[in-house]
Amino acid sequence: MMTKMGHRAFMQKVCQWGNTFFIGSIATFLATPQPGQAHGVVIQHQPVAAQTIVAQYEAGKPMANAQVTVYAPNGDSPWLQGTTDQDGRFLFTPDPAQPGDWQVRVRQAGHGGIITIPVQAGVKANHAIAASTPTSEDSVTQGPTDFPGTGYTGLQKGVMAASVVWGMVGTASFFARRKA
Amino acid sequence: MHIADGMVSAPVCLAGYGLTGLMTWLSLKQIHRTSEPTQGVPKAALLTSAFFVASLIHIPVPPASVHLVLNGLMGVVLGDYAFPAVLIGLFFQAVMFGHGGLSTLGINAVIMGLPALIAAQIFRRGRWLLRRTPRWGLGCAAFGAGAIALALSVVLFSSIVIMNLPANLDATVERAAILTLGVAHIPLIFLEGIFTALLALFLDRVKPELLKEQT
Repeated sequence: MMTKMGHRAFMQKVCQWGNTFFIGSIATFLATPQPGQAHGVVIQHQPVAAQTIVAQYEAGKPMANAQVTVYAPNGDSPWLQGTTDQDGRFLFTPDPAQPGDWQVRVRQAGHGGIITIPVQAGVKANHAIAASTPTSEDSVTQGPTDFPGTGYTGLQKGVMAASVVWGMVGTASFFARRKA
Repeated sequence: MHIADGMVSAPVCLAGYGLTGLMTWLSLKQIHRTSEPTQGVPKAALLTSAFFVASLIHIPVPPASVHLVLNGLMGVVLGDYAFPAVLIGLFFQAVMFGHGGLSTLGINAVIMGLPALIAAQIFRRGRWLLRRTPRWGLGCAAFGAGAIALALSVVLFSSIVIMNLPANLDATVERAAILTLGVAHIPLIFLEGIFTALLALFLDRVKPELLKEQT
């Protein structure tokens, strides 16, 4: 009889320890931050002066997966390197502690260009690229123009081309004239 | 096909200008030896305008987009006038459209002008070698000159860019992109060869003196 009672008491103790261990495990699990779960997450926001670069070939085709090198003002070595996405876009946040002209070089298969982005000290909001210096037929820009490399529309380009052709035809006519 | 400002180092730009100066001097010297040096200026001016506008004509060759060069045609029709004509055309392309750049004008002139001069020699010798069948010989020589000139330009462009890759660039990715661009030019090489042959045959029929070497 004593043996039976002792066994029952032992089983009760085991159950108590099991419950305590189970509840403790649950509490530990809930208290520990788990990646990928929406428990105990703190989301903050902070305004930054991010810059978006759009690189396109002159025909309008985006420079997808082009290599991008960002140079900080007065810096010879690259400050940041990366690649454009499928739309030719690249986003980066210049260090506000380094105001001045930031240079971004986009390059793919020997083609590309350099753009200069002025960054002012203490500017926290996004701002447009004020002065760009596209240098190539395949260039970086931010404006929705027909010819992103130079910022000219198709009509302007046509007039420019016609002017040069007219000058060359005039040269040809001058030298082709019959000598009196 | 144009190397833009900042894509190659300053010594390469200077070397390009040096070579361009030398080749321009040699071309002008050859032109000056002819009995009437200004006789070829009208056709040189017209071909320069065609070369200038050609870079605006883009041909989509997936995954890239290429544009006409026409340096082989310049060599076939202009001969010794080809290099100065290419140089002037590239200058206007750089200033008006931003194709290439002023610092790389010399190296771009070498890339497109040197093959133009080689094309002139190919056309002249090919035409002489195939003189038994004049029409076929003219067409084949013009095709070879037009196609080889562009192929040489692609090889020169790729070699110069690959040999001057910046240290911080992923060289493997850049080489693969250059190779893709080179392959994309293969259809254009044949296209320019055919265009040069057709134009040479047309000129031979309507105004054959334009294809004659100036003496």
